[in-house]
Amino acid sequence: MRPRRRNVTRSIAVHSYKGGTGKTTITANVAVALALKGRRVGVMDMDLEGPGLHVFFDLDPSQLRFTVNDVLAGVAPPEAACVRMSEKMNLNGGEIYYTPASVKVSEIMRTLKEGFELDTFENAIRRLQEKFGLHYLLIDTHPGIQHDTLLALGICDHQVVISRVDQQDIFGTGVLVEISSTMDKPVHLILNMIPPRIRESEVLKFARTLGAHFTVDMAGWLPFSEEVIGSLSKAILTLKMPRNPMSQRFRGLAEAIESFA
Amino acid sequence: MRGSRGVLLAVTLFLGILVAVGGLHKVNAAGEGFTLTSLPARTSEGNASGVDLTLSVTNAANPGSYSFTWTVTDPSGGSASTTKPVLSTAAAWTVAAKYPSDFGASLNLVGSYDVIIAENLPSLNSSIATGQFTVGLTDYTSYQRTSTVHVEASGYLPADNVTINIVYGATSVSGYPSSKNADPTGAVQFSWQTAVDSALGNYTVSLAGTNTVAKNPADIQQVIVYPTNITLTPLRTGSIVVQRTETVDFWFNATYPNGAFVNTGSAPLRLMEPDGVTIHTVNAIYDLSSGTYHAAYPTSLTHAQGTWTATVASASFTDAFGNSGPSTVQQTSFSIQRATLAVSLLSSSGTYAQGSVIPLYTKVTVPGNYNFTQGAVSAVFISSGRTIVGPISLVYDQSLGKWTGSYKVNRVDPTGTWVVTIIASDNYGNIGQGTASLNVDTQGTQTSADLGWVVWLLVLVIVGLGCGILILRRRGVIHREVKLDVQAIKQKANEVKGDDFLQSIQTQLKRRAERIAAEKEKRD
Ligand SMILES: Nc1ncnc2c1ncn2[C@@H]1O[C@H](COP(=O)(O)OP(=O)(O)OP(=O)(O)O)[C@@H](O)[C@H]1O
Ligand SMILES: [Mg+2]
Repeated sequence: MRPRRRNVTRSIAVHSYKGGTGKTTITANVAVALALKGRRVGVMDMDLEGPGLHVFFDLDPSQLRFTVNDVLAGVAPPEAACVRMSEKMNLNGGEIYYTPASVKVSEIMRTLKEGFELDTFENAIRRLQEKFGLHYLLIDTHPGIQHDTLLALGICDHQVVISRVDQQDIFGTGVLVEISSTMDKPVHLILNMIPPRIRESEVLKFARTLGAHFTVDMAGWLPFSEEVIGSLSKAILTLKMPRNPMSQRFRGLAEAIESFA
Repeated sequence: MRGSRGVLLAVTLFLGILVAVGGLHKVNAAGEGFTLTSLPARTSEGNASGVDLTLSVTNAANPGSYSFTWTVTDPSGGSASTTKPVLSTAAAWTVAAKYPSDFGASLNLVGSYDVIIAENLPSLNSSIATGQFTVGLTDYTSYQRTSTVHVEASGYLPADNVTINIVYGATSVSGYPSSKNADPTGAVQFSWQTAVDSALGNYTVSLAGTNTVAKNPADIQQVIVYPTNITLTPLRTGSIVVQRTETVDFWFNATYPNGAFVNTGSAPLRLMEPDGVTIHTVNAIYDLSSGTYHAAYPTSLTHAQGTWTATVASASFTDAFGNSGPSTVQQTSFSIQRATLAVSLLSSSGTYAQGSVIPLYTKVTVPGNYNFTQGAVSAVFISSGRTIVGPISLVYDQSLGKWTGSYKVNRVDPTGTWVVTIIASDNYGNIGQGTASLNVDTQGTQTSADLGWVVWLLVLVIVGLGCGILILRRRGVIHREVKLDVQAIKQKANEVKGDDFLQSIQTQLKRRAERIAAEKEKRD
């Protein structure tokens, strides 16, 4: 399996208007699905206010020397805050390089207060891509329309917006997508936690309707899954239960991401 | 003893009251009752039929002999009398004297005439009844505008030139003073026609002869002119049933008592909603072309459905001069129904390949024939009875005057004839729909656009099917739960886009892009 484009890394920001839409779950699972295909995948936790990826990767960021907060503050080089996961996870030849965010309140506060330079963030991405020969860099973000997050989105090659299909979520997603599309980056939509009573044809019809009104491309959808919620974010389903239909779904999303133009 | 004294007191009191009350009625010693009536109580000078001064007697002696003398004192102080004997054959009877004929007098002076009747037989009593009548110049003392004031005066020298004047305030009314010769009997008659706009209030009518010795009192009298009543023909409406946005027309004619048509002023038409509470007002004004009063009420998309009543309240119509009407309420009713919106899709027919955009330009008009701009217009594409996509919301484009939207044909979309149904509706139950068909070819090979009647037959079948399915599908779970309010989203997004912070992000990103481009150039 050869990467489609050797020397171009795709940076993909995973975002949503509301919290709890499944950004972190999807980021972790899709990263694993891509790695299991032999891809070299970077995963960065840019949810500086509410980091969550470390739970999936079973790491305690306070035990680490550096985090992404230090990178953004210009304290540490990006590769120093990066953890190689493949040994621990047995990724079948693929790689995951994970950059956690700090869980220490004082550091979170500091980063939020000081913000970060666009250049610092951009350089960090470039360094990671070059150092580790990444095919993809998935960036988990903090939900909502905030300055730093939007700035990060503007740097990435693709934006993936996660939304549930409830009324508030869809409204916010519409707003977010409208704003994102002003940054001239392709915007993709993943509908998550679709209630079981909704037929696939309905979901697709709804997605098409969204597509008819907003410049957004439907990347896929996930049903509500007892297994996902039951795993309490501790296990990456794609890794632990590859046969589970949900894992199949996550692999489908990975395929969709690989087909991003 | 005590009882008889009480009765005596009561009788005395009763008599006292009778005397005090007007002196028309007296009871003489023998116990008769006398009442004098003057008929008419008011008349004009020279009235040939005169005034009947009738004495009614009750409790009369029967049989008995009576005799009475009537004395009338005219406004100059002069008096004349007449005496009439009566042979009583009943307990109650009347006896009348006619003034002026029975008195050898005349009715030539304006003012109050006093009458006193004396009894000569069987008792002698200088005043058993008194009364009064008035003589003026006009047939009435007050008039409504448009009515005619008839004036009659007498007592002038035959053929004497009599000056006539009618004065309002300090000025004579138009046409006066004028003059007229008395007839051979010395009488002068004329009439003054009041108009719809005659000044309201007191007028003084006066006459004076040239050779006739000045009358004492002079021939002067006041009349009052009041506003007149306007009568309306029944309120008519142009249409008994209208759809919202159509205009309801109302008409009526207004006339004065003399039959002339009113053509000034206006009437508020009160329109009551079916709730029986909410009132709208529209003014009916004179329409020269139809010669009637007309009011037009344009209804709107939000007006209540049901039966409305239109009313011209009594006395609510007022002409330019303060005359008013009608005396009773005029009413009619009409009914407002929801609007059926006309939906026409302007530009979608044709053949579309994968990736091409199907434009949806839709003109939606209300029954009142203007554009429907507020509400929801959405499109649903159906093929072979299956919904392909939709509802897609269309957005109103002010500059085009059309609802616009589009759909980009997908690789996975079915090839064939698609039917697009556009439904326009609002929160008030106004609704309409339009349908068009188009050919979609996702395989890239163009289907023949000219399959003739076969295609149309197919279209017809599919429209029927589609409508059925549409009705069923409209209950789709997602759409029942999640509404895609495109306009609200775009509006909210525009608010955010206007924010400074987003602008600053965009400038930063732009600067970065420029820098990258510059670096790249340097490298090359
Ligand atoms: N498809 C799904 N079915 C059922 N539960 C799901 C699904 N996707 C995510 N969840 C659950 O929803 C919760 C929120 O997910 P997650 O933390 O990934 O969301 P998030 O968008 O990262 O939230 P935050 O905005 O707080 O970072 C978790 O408990 C997760 O297990
Ligand atoms: Mg998260």
